[in-house]
Amino acid sequence: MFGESLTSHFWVASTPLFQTALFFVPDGTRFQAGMEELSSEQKSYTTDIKIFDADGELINEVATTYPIDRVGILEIEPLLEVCKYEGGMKHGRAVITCSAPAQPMSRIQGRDSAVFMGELLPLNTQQRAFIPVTLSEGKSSILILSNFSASPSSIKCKLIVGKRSPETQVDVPAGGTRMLSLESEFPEYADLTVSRAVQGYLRLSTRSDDQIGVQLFERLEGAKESSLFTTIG
Amino acid sequence: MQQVRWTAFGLSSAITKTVLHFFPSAVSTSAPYPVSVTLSVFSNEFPRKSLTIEGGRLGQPDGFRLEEAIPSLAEALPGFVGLQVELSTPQPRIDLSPSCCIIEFVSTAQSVKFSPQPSSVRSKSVQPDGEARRLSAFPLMQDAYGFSSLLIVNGSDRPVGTRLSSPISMGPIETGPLIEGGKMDTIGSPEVQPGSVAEVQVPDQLIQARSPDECSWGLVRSRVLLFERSDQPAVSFFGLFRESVAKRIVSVVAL
Repeated sequence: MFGESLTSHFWVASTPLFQTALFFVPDGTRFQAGMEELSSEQKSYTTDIKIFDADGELINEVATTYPIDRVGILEIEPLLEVCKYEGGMKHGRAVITCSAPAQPMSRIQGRDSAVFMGELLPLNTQQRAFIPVTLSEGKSSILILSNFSASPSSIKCKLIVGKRSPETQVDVPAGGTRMLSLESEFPEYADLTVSRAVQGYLRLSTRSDDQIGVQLFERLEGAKESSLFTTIG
Repeated sequence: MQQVRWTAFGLSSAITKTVLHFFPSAVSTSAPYPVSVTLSVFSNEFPRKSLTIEGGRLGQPDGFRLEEAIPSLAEALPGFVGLQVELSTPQPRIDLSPSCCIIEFVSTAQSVKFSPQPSSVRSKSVQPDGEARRLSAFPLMQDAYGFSSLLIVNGSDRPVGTRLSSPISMGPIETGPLIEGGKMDTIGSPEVQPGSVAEVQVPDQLIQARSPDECSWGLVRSRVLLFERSDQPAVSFFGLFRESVAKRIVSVVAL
C-alpha cells in the first residue's frame, strides 16, 4: 500500500515457483511546481534496499537511482542468492528507504501469473491485525510474520471459524521472518474431504511493544504447474 | 473517534461477487462493545442504497456478502459499485481508529483482497488548504503478466475533476484523453459524477511511446501517471492490475 513514510517493509521471496520484483514510482508532490522548476538533484530519485534473511541477518544492501519520469524496477532474486532457506524457500524482509519521496510496490510473479502485494500490515500492542482466510482444496495459505525490532517477539495467531477459535503462538527472532502454513497448523480445518471450503478470520496480536509486520500469501495450484496468487494489496 | 469510515468499491457481475470484511478495534479496550456497520452502495447505473447492520462486536472480525445485504445488486449486476462503509459504536470515549476493512472479490478462479484507507487518514494526509490539490503518482504498466489502470470512486454529492498527466524526459508534461466511464469536460481532466465509479483507460500509444525495460520475464513498458487528488473524504483512488488475457482484476492497491 502506498504510504507517507519513507521507510517501508516488504516480504520478499525467491523459489522455483515464484519470485519477488520491486517497483518504484516517484511521489507526485515532486511535480507540484512543474517539471521546469526541478533542480538537477530532483530529477532523479534513489532507493536504498536492505535485505534481511529469515533469521534477521542483513544479507544484502543495494542502492538504485532512477530518472524521475521513470518507474523503477528491481528484481529481487539475485539479491537473495546467499539467503538461507527457511520453511523450504529463500525469503526475508526488504527494508526500503526512498530518497524524498518515492513509493515502493512489490509484485509476486509466477510462471504465468502475478499479483501486487501490499506492505507488511502493522501489528503492535495498539494495533491488532485481522485477515480473512479461505482454506480450500488445492490452495496453500502461508501467514508471514516479520519482526522489525532488535529483540525476539511472540505473536498470537487465532483462527476464528464459526464458534471455534483455535490458537497458536509463533516466536520470531529479532529482525527475522517466519512463515506459518495454515493447513499444517490447523489441520482439522484443512480436512477438505469433509467440507469444500472453510472460511474464517485470523486475528493476530502481540504483547510486545515492538513493531511486527504480517501478510497472508495464498497460492492456488492451476493446470500444468501454473499458480494463481492472492495477497492483500 | 467513535466512528471510522472508508470509501471503496465493489464488483457485482455474473462471475465475481464482493465480500466485505471488517474488524472493529479500539485503542484502549478489548471489551466486546456493540458496533454497527452502515453501508452505502452506489454507481452510475445503480441508485444509492444504504443500510445499517447491527450485531457487530468490538474485537470480533465479521463480514458479509454484498448481495446478501443488498439483494437487488444480484439482479442489476452493475459491475463496479462505490461503497461507503462506516463502523460506529454508541459507547462513548471509544476510539475506533485501529479498525480495518478488507474488500474481497470472489470468483471461481481466484480471490482478490485489498484494504482501503480510512477517509480520516487520507484527509489528514492531504493538504491543509481546502482549495489546493495534491498531485499523486501511480505506475501505468504493461508486460506479459498484465496491465494497470486507475479507478476513481466519487461518493460525494458533487462532481470531481481529476487532471491526469505524465512526465516525460524532463520535457513538458503530457496530457491526453484517458477516461472511460465518467464524463469528460476537458482533455486530460475527466470529471467523475457524484455517486459514480470511473475506470481510467490508458491508450496503448501513451505507454508504447516509452522504451521498455528488459526484465527476466520479458519487456516491461511503464509510465508515471500523475493525478490530482481531491481532498474530499468521500473520494478515493485505486490502482487496478488486470491480467492480460481475460483482463480479470488480479490486484487492487489503495492510493
